[in-house]
Amino acid sequence: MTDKPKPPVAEASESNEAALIKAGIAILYRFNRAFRMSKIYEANNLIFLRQIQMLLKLIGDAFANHGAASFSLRKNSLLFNDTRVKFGFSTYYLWKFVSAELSEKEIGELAFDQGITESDLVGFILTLAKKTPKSETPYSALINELEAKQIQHIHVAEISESEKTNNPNRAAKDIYFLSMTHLKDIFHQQESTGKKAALLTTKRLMQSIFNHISDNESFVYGLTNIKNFDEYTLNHSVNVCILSISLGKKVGLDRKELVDLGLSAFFHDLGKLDIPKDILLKPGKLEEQERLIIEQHPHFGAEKLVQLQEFSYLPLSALNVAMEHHSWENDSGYPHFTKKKNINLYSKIVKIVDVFDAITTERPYRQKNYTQEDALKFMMERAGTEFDPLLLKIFVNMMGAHPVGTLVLLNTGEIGIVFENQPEPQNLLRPVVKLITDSSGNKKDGYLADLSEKDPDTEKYVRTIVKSLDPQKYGVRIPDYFVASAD
Amino acid sequence: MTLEQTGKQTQKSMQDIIQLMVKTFGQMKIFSFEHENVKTFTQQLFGHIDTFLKTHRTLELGVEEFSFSYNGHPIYTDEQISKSLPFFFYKDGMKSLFFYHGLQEKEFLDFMEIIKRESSLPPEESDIVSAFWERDFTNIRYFAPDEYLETKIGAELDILDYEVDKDALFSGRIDLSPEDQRALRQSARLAQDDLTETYKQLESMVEMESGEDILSMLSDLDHPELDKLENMIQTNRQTSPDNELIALVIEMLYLEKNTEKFSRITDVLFQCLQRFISIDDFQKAVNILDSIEEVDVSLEKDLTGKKQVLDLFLEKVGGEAALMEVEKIYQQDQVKDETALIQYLGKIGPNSLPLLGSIYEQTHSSQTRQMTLNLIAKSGSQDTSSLLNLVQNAKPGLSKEVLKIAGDIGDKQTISQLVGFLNYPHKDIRKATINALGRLNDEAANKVLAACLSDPEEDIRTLAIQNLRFLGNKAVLLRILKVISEKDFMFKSESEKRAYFDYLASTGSNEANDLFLSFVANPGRLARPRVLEAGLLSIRSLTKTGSPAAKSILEQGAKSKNKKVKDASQKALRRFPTS
Repeated sequence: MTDKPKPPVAEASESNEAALIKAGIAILYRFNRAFRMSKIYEANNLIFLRQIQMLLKLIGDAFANHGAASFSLRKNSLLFNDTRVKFGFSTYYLWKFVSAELSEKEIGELAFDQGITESDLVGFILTLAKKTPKSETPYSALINELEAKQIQHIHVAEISESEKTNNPNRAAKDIYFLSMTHLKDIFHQQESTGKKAALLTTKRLMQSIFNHISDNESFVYGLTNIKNFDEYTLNHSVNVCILSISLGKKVGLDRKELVDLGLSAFFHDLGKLDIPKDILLKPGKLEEQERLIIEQHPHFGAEKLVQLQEFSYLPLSALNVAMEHHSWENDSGYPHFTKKKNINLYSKIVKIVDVFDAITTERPYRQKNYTQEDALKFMMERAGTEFDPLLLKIFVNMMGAHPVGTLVLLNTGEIGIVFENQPEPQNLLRPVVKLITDSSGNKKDGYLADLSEKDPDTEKYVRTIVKSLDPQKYGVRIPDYFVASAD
Repeated sequence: MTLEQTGKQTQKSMQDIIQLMVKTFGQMKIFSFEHENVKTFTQQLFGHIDTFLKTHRTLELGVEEFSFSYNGHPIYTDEQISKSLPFFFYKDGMKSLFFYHGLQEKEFLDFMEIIKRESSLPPEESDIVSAFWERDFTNIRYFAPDEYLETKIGAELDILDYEVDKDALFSGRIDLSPEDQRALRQSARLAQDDLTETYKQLESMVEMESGEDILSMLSDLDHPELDKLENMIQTNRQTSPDNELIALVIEMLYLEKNTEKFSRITDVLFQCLQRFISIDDFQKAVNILDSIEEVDVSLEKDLTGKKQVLDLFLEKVGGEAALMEVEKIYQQDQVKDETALIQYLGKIGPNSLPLLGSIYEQTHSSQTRQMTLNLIAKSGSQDTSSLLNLVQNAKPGLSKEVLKIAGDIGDKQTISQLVGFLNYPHKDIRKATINALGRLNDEAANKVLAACLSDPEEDIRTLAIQNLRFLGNKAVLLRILKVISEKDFMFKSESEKRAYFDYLASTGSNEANDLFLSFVANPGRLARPRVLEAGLLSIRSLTKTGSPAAKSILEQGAKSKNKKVKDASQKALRRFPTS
């Protein structure tokens, strides 16, 4: 086992780029299958070995067709034979898988030799998939183990310093509150006029949010459990921005489009600045006249945006979203348009996220807010009437059966909070859970438990979710746990 | 070669690369990206970097405020903010720049082009990091930590933060409600068994696939759904942002109740309109005006003053300043879609007439010319005075058309304006003016035409009499009769004389008929050649009128003893229209 030898790399031309990417994705797919099965089956299990053989063949094909088979991580990207692999909706989970697994072990590059054997692959995958205690030097630990297993034809190289993020949760949390501060500044400028909004900074902020979502999606979702911090509209707008970018990413928008979507979501409620606070915060049911005033905020927002001097920095979709985020699929909702017929894609995305965040937030005029799961059920009942059914389906898939931040009771009697959903379809009900009590109900700073983990002796799952719990009922402040894990 | 020597050589290569990069940057600031100097420098720079990457695979450049560093050692410094390349990267928060093996020339050229573009912007409008982020290079990456944003956002504000009391968070108890305790007891084991089974089923399903159609199998969406999704994205990408903007702003107008805000939105719309004009997109400008017309109709019963705001908007659109912008675009030969331009000017009304005149004169397209003319007629009918302002001695072609249109419009208020054109040196304009006057069917116009009968040029006189209309006023008739009775009349050309007789015949007056009869039925006078000529001309003119009085005169002529008059009259009667 050597540290960083490089196989000869085929230069990718425009013509073979698509074939190269396809080959890379095929290898990743099979690698992922073998990796998952290594956690269930023994090394000599036929199903597992069948996956290994298929993987070996794909690697051989890559050598035959492209001269090499190597992956490298570079700033939110995966390169196969020095060609960037772009992931779509259906392959996104493979990116999540490979970036998480390689980053955890601090692997920057992974290259296969032409002489690779079944035994090399089995040894490597078992080593990679093995649960190990958290190490200060995960890369060195991995190298030692690979050398001990005498794996000859698979080479890894350590991730460069610049690719490492010291504390991704801390960085994500900082960006979350930075976003809220920035929006507060813009809102106040809008109210007091005078100073120009720094929309170039807003754009950079969106790019950074995109990066954090790519690096640390689940934790960023977790932060969106922060509600009613400082001013409701600010907090809500940041949450909507984050979840809209995530949903847009799942939908398949490109990164520039995602920044536009993020900017649009960020400003979607700007019009509320023109609504008197006593109406916005009124507890209980609104009078008809008050309701009509509230319903003016979409076009007030669009008007504000279109008059911004820096309008040229804003995507047009910001106007769409401000204007249309209360429009329904069945042409109802508000405002009522005289001529306009079609609702913009970004508005449809933001509408879904906007409603989700709003109804899961405690508000003075609402007796009880929905849990995330109940909110999704409520929204599914409105697929096709209020929400675009396809986008809603993707959103529900994105949030998972137990969305990040769901309080769950486990069959062990422990209580936990869903911190991460697993991308594989078979693990939809088996997220990674932060344990917050022991089985007797004593609170604790527990570890992150992977519910797909099985007891090797019994082949039964160690933990299973019994049911989700209402955090309000138990006085559990979900966001506190995410914020605490960032420090 | 020792390690030290190798290190020195690498350092030297890096310095060469940076020197070349700075020189290229300097050239790019002076010349266009296509300039030979820039091309040469860029190619050389790529060559150097490519060579370096073949050996070292990665080129990592440290970015400090005024310097670049390699392996922690400064290799280039420039403290002049306006031209410093390190500062240009640093100001937007970049800390490191990486080039990776596999870098393609095309990718590198894109990289340089972005630098060129961003460096030409004012510093407050450029962001090189943002531009690199958007381009998302495969083999060029950068490191720009979020601290940059903290310095930007936190400069004037305290950054919001959320503190958690960890001790409180992780101490104490959570006691399950009886209901949840029951659920735990009853369901835990069952759930585990069921899910274990479900998991195994899923695994076996995965095993069945062949690996060919990975994408569809892995997706939570089926093929039709994926197609629909793709279609949604493509539709979104293909939607014209400009049309979308117009639609949105127009909706804002429909929704806005406050007149002041309504007015501000029209200002935005006006800016849009000007932008479309400046980029020669007159079709979108037309769309705006069409939509405004619809809003205007919807405001028929509005009493809040919004209608007046729209009137002001339209006034501004048709104002001198706005039209000068349009003219500027046209004169710069920048208009590709002349049809859209004509449509746009059609929305403006008579204020656009001078520009329409220019287009008529300058266009090379017969179709555009005809469209322009139609529009001149339409807009001119709303303001004939402005229409006639297009008449210029230097533009006889346009002037003739304009005068024809003015004649068709028949606005009697224009006579005084028309009189002025009779003094224009260009005869065609004068002739067109006479025709226009004739088409007015007006006594005042007749008087002007009668005055033309003494014009020194025969064709002008002839045209004038041809355009005279008998409207009951006998003063002109008597003047004509007097001219005919004068000796000199017989010396006029046949065509001029014919015109006089035609006029007389058209009057159907007794005075005229008496004169015709005197020419046709007086055998004694007919012996004189000039009287005979007058008689024959009378027969011709009478035939054209088809009136009973004319027929009666011709019947008398048919009995004439003068063979020529008799034959001509009989022939005329045969052709005479039966009532």
